[in-house]
Amino acid sequence: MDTFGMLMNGFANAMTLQNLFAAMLGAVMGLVVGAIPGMGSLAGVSLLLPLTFKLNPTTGIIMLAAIYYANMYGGSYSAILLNIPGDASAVMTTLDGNPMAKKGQAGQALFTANLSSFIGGTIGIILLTFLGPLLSRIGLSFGPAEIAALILLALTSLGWLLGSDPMKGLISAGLGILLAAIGVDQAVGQPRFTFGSINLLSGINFIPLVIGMFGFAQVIDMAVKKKTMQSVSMVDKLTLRGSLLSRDQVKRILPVAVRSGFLGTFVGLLPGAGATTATFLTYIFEKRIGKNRDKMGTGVVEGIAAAESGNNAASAGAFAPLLSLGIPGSGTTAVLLGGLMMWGLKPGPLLFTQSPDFVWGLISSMYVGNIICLIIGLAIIPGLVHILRIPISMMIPLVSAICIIGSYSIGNNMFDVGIMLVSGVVAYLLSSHDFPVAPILLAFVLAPRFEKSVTQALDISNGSFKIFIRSPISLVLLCATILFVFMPLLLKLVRKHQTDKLSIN
Amino acid sequence: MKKILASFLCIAIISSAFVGCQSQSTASPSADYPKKEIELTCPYSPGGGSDIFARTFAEACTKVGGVPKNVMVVNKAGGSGAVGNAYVYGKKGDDYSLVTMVGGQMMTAMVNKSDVQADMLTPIACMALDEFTLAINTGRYESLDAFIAAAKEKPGQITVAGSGMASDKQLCTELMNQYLGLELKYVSFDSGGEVLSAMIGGHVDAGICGPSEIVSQIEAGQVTCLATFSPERLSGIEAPTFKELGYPDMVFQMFRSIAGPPDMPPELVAYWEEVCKKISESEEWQKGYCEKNGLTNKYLNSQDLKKYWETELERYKEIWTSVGLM
Repeated sequence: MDTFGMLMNGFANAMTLQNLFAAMLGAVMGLVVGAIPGMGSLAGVSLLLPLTFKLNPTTGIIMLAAIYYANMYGGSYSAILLNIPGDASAVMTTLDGNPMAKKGQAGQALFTANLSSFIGGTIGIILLTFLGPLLSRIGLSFGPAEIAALILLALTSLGWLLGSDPMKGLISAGLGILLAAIGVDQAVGQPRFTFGSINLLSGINFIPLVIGMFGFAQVIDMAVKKKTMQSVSMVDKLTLRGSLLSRDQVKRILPVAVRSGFLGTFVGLLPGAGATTATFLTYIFEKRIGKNRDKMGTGVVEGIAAAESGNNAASAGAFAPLLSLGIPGSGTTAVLLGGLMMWGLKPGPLLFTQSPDFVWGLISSMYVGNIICLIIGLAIIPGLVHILRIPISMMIPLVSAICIIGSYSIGNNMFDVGIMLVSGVVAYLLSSHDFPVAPILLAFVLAPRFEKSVTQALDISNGSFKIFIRSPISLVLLCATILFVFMPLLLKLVRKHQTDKLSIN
Repeated sequence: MKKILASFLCIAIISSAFVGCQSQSTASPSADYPKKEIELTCPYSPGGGSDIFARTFAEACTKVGGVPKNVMVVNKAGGSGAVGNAYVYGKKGDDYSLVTMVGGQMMTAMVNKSDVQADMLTPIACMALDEFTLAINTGRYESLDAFIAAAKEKPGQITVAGSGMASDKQLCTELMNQYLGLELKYVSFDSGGEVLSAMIGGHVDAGICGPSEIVSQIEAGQVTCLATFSPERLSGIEAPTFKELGYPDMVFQMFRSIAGPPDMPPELVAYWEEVCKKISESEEWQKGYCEKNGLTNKYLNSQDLKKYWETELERYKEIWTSVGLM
């Protein structure tokens, strides 16, 4: 039976009342889990996994998968409204989402996020359906050397996020790298900068850092400036109609969402890279080549579209290696793998042939689930926007409480709350002196991955750097990096040469 | 401004108190123990092997272990087990606190010279053992002998992937180096999934994997198991054990046990020993957990576990010192 036929068969399976209900329940849970800062898809899926054991495998995995990708929808809500990313994969959404909310365009920001999430997720599922096994094989050919080269390419994009004063941007990036160095190092297993504290032994947790730098810094800003999150005069676009996007906006969003969808899917299926890395890369990519790239970061729909489409596509992409090879593409799919085994399924290269009903039922339900998420997401926009009408005197303690509880819930450790508070204060001080905060996070996430991949690559090659050149993928990526770095310089020289020629003539 | 500050402080204090409060109990075990929920600390994050172990055990306590109150799992991840260890160490005197203790936790506490070493906690019972296999991408080497020959030919250049630094997987690699006279290079990855990807993608020569990770891969013909580090052949995997090939010292299994805060009263230890025994004899544990996860069911009471910990510690110390990690 060809792929399309199997897919149709799967739809019959996915549309049964039980499975539809499971998808809906999973979607709602995922939206809530995603919106709550501090709780991410990994925690949500692992904690809800035991509940699904009573169900049959197909229904169970439909629900868990729904929780996973609905989480990517939900993460954008608190990111846009409160400037607190729901989890790591929603960080890039805050860069444009919250400024839009502050400008009185919260409804449109939420609409954009939902629409882009849907486009990205659907592209991811389509690619999964028709090219899943092939893409997984390509993903496998990315070993440590190739991933290091890819991250290096991403790191060069730091320049685009440096803001108006490059020196300050570089200092921010340096701070990010320094913070990421805290913990046990990847190469030899020796602790760095831990000052004897066991809490620092595994390094600074990303979520409290992010919640602090975005959410808590925001609280301090609110308290100091006594400004509401949105001027009273602009609080009239509270209906769904008021949140609709103009045709021009939709035209701008579509190409961005589609591009990010493809890129996000691919990053999602790379080993060790999940929705977080994907959303970073799709945002950076858009910032580099997008039409409206100069305005990105100030509150434009393209920024939200790139980030949201990326993380949803990645969550779909992470299923490709899981279903076609039995290898999890991210932390959350690793938990799903455990779940599959508990249900007696045997994830591996034979899953498609041994349990076709299960696999195609799951894939079909992902299409359905995405539609459900879109509908629910759009329907609650008016309700969500109302949150912004909460007066500032209630908003400050409310957001502070969310920050504290969110940071604690990561590891049940008050130390994380401390990190959150300190990073909030530091971020507030930095941004009030025009130091950009985004490079800190970018460096914090990418630098350790870069270090780990380089260390692994050198372990494999026994210390020889030739491994980066010998692999064709790595070579191509390195050339692209060099090209991107020197392109502006080359263009300048060429232009100067041309004007010299003209002036001579 | 004052109002804002006041309300902020109020909420901050209340929520901190809410989430930070821990219940302490000073009651000694009596006929009506347990009177309330028991806290089972898992020193690793949700979703991982230890977490699944903790949650399955917690559920089994009430289902087949005969514990009248629920056992709640609390994740306290960090420092590869150090945070969880320290947390439970600080629970001395609390009768409602337990912790999962696996071999990896013991190893990292040793190598990192943490303040709380694993043997400072009270051993209660061993519940299961993890097994390890040496696996390759099918076709890379024809047999174990071919692999060993290739390793001898190019010392320091044949790579073996495993998850974690100074972990059980690295220990297996060092066992091979020590007893087979090889110089294999260990490359650490973050998870079993990444190890498999590196193996199948051809980036490393071999990998140390748990049996459950590779069973379906073997069935599909993608992965071949060269040998196992178990005392007997593993079901579902047709590969010889290093022991039967003539290397009895190359047997390695990682224990999964339950422990408690330091100086636990003996009656309390006995109570939990009984519960653990009941669980390990149940079908739920044997079929529902051990078999499904490729683990070997093994029950040891607290005395035997204490001796087992001691011998394992000696072993770890010897190997890690010889490698230079300690």
